[in-house]
Amino acid sequence: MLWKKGWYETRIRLLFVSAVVVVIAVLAMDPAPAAAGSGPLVVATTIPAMLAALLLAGGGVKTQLGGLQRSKGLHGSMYYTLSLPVTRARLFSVRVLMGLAEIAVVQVLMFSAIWLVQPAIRVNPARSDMFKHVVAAFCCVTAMYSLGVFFASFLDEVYQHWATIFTVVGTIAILSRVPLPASMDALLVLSLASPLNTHTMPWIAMAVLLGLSGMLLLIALKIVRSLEY
Amino acid sequence: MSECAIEAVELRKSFKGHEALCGLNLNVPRGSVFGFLGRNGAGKTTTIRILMGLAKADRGEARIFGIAPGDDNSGALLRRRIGFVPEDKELYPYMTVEQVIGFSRPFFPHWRDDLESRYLNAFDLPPKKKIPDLSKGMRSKLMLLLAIARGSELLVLDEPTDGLDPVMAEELLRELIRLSASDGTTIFFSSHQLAEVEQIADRITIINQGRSIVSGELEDLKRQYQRIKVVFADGIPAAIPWAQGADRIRKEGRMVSILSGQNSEEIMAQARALPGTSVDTYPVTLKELFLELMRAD
Amino acid sequence: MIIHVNPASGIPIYIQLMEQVKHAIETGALRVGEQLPPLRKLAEELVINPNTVVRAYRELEYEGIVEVRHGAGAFVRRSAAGHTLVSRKAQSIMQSAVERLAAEGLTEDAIRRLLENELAQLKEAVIRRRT
Repeated sequence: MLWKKGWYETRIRLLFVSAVVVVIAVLAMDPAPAAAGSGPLVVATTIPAMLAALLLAGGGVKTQLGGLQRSKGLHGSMYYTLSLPVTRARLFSVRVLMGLAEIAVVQVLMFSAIWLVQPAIRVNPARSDMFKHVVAAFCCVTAMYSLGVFFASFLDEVYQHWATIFTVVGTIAILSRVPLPASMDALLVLSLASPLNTHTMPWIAMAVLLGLSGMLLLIALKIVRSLEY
Repeated sequence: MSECAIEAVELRKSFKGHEALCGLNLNVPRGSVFGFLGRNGAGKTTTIRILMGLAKADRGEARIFGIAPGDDNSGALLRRRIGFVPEDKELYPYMTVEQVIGFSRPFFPHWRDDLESRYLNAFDLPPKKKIPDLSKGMRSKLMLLLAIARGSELLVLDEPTDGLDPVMAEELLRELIRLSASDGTTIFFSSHQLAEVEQIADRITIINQGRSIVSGELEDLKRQYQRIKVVFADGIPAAIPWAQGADRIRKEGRMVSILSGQNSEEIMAQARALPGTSVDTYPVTLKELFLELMRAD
Repeated sequence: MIIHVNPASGIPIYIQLMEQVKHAIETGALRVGEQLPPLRKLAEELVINPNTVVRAYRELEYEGIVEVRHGAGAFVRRSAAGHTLVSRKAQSIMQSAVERLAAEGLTEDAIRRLLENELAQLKEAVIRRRT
């Protein structure tokens, strides 16, 4: 029941985000260099995916444990949701899992769109590599999403977006100065160390990203449990 | 099986430096119809939020059926047995009446289908209408239906007749009486409509500035409190040592008006013993009692 | 049987109920052996707390006016009829009292207020002594 309700509340946003992401990805694809390397492909798919994570994340985890509405403060129906015999943990989990599922869907749509639109790609990167890249990218995007959820648990929607962007940009800036071993560098996963180039799964980086996501989500859950209305 | 539906002991709660609750005590027996009265900002909504697990008290304890509502897990289980109508009677704007009922039903193992259809009819709620298209009165009724059909042992209602016209309000009160009489449902409600409280409540608590100032069975309180008017033919003497319980003494011209909370007989005898007096007693309505207590506190 | 209460009058509702039942018996609207309105039904009709009706019926039982039979309801007792005899004697007492007060110069309203006051106090005192 909560899933159905969550779907009702997020499906329009999902549609919107999917459309935006697909369009950007397709436009960003440069037809010629597709043959020369996978760089542009990676870039074209990464940025929109991150965008998706940003937009779908949080979006009122604090104020809308059950839903997503534009609200300055608490939405009235929130009281009803909280009066249901459901733990906050469950409300939180449903929301987060729904968000992750939606991100996965967006990713798949994006890659499918590019695949369809740019025939040149079909030749160069091997399908298995493509698949590995998608999975690795998903881990990265999950980390971003978790960051968004973490901020959304105590910040209002607008601030949450800015906080996430700031943190991500800051992290990138720091990591580009402080070199990490290639296997750990999450960023490289999406560019140089991408499976599209290395033809292997960056297991360690993925583990780090997922571990980070888990931690952020747990902290967010703890915060949400202690919220007062 | 605890005899107490709701129990609060020395609840304290502060927001941003403002002390909303300063040691509130509450005792709501099972099966009672309990009126929770107070001015705006006295702490009624804060108390209800703590009882529903939306907020946590800084100090003191709150228990419903002996269980603390603040813990995430036990609170969720507890809410299976409680029907809640909050002050903001809002629901999901993208659902229709029957959709929100259908959404709510699976959460409650004791859902009463008979009550659901009964109140759909009694309240005249159009099943296919979208919630934002309902009038305020309709929404109040829908929220009440959702609270009642849960098959709850306890109803916590924050201003249940707010926005209802007199006919609808009476209907609602009648349904509450019916629930209390037939199912023994405990009803805990806050209201500004003192006349309604006087009608259906058997116990009340009046809360002011975060504390309860009067508590007990309504009929007893009405018997206990008397307004005694003493007229002095030759003017009011300077100082009169009234017996214990003579509160809220007001003087006007040659008349002294006393609201006595106890010892009414003693005070009356005292008054009659004074020279040149005529003594009359009047019963006190809940409204008078409330206003008088607010004035003096 | 039409009973009417005013919850906001200040007089406890159960006392109002009692008075109405007694009045109904005196005027013949309720006869010996007849059943009083069922508890729950009366509460729902008047939209008052059922405990209030319970209390009223219980007090009436104490006063011997009504008999509560478990499972069946409340019924007017035989001895309620006796009250009408008493009231004839009471009527003459009342008559002389009113005449004397009027002779003192009291108006109708003044006499009525005096009487209501005394009655209210009497009732309160009786119940208070009992509880």
